[in-house]
Amino acid sequence: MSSNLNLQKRTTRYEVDGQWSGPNGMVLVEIRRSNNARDIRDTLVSLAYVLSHEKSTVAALCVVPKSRLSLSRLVHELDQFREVVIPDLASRIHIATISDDGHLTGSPYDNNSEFLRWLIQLATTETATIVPARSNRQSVSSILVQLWLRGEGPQSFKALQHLCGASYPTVSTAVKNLSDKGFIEHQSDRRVGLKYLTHDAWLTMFKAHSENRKVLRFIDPTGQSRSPESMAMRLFKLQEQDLFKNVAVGGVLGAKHYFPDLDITASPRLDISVYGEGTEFVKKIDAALEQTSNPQANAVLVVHLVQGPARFIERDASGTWAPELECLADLFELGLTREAMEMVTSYPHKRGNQR
Amino acid sequence: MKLSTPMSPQAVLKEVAVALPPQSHQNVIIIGSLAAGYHFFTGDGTKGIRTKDIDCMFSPHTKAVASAIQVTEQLLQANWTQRQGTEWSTPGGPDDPADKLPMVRLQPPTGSEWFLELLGAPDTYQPDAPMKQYHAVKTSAGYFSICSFGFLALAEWDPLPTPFGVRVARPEMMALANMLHHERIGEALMSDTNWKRSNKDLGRVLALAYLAIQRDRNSNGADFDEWAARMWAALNAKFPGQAHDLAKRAGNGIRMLLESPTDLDQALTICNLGLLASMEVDQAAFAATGRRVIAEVIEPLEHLATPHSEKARTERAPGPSPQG
Repeated sequence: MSSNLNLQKRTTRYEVDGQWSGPNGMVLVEIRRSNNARDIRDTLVSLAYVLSHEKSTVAALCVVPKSRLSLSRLVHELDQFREVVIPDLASRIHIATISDDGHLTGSPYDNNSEFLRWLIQLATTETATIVPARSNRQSVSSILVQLWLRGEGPQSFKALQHLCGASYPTVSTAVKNLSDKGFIEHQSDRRVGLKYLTHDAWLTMFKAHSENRKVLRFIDPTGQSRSPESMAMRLFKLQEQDLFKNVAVGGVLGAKHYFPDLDITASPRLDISVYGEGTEFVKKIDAALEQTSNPQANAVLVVHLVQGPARFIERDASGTWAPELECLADLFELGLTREAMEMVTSYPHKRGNQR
Repeated sequence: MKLSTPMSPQAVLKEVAVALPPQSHQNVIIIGSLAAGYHFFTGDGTKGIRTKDIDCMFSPHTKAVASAIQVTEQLLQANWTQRQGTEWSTPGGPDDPADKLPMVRLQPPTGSEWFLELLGAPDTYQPDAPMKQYHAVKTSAGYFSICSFGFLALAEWDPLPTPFGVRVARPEMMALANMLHHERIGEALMSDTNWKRSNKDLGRVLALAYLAIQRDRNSNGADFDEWAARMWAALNAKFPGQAHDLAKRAGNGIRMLLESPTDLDQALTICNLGLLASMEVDQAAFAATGRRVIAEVIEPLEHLATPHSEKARTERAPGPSPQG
């Protein structure tokens, strides 16, 4: 096998999302999530440009996941496209869809399970990260909470806009929503900061923050997964080589980093927060892991694609740790609500304010 | 293919060792299923091995033929008999070429299903020499052949001691020998089956890795993490002039296997009838193990063989233990 699972963008005029090297040659793959036929045409033309610079053994595949365009409509677009480009290029460009249950349809490669596994992971990663979600009100609320957890004081609206990458109206609305509930402390110079949250407000915050992240779950088909600690150590070792700097360990391990007294003896899985990176690091942690779309599956590693700045990642000699709010949201997702609240109430500067 | 009854690897190894002359023990290295089963299953009464041939290699090469003759004579005197029912059941004569002579395949007088197959450690590796070499041996029963396979020299690298005097080959050395023996999926079939020999041997690599990882996880160990470094050390010890080239080629067959669902499926079928029997390893788990082998053994081995990692090589490659 000369398989190359490289997710790096290729340095051609037009960059594709991934490339697969198999026994029958290389396949360049572009993931196009769209319901618009014009977008598909654009992608086919772009792939033709790329292929014109490649050897004649290289093929290209346009994958359209979760589209309202039917496969027959996509094939029609491909047929029309093939009529107007030179035959050598046309015959090497293909189109396919991926259904919700992970079925690849339309591709000449759909009988290659390793390729399909790789392709689904690529499609999931690309559709989750290709367009960073706009910062929304929840992003602003989360930043305010994270600032409070770090004990950082009130911020100006401009600073919040900068931190969140959000517009003034978005920041203003988010602050107003919290302020209306009495959770915001207003300074005379118009700076604002979180004052406190009630127990219920914390739970609401955990839930809303969780829902504002994209989640990718990975299972170990061998049933021989490494311990979460061991997987985290492998990540930290990679990071010593200056790799995957915006990938941080959260979940139980992260929470224990901030709150060693956390009453959890063993972590059930490894939670990782990722800021603006793909998931290639997962393969480096353990090549056996496979992404699953089944939320009930017994995931051994869960990746949270977080919008917002990587600024709150904490790096020290022991590792790279996700911000406190990510760890808390992970605990909440794991059903460890009591433990999450214990952690919240442990912050010295918080004591006396908790209601 | 008729399945043999699962056997206790410890019991079989003991039976073999007791039958061999004590003075030959130091020259015996058990390889193949029995070695793997003994290494991974000893102490676990729920797991056995299904094999007919117990591969017994005599080492070093210079003493292999003499040891094999001595052992054959003793076993024949103890009423062991050449395996019957095949075209190789009868000893040859003095004029038969070595590659036309039957190998020594002796069944114990207890009527066990298994038989002992005697092999010789290979001579110093010559890239252009045939991988399989035959040496005619004269016994009181007639002429036989002792066979040597080039990459079986790896089994001589730091074999593991047993309480029975004989030693067993390291799983990672058997895995490396199989990988080097099959750089691609060949068309040669196993006798009496439609199964490709390369699928059996390359599948065995994944089975050994699966068992090594399972053992590590159960014991909080990290033996599998050492496979690449040990393989590199063994290649340098056994094939000093070719170590780089062999390390770079070692992963070709496994990569091909993982890219061929049909061959991978066949390899798993064979493993599930042998070393992985009763473990319910499915294709997804088998393929995932293959990815681990590539990422955690083959790629590090290739890295060790690249010129820029010279320093890493000298620092990481372990030497054999004193017994080796």
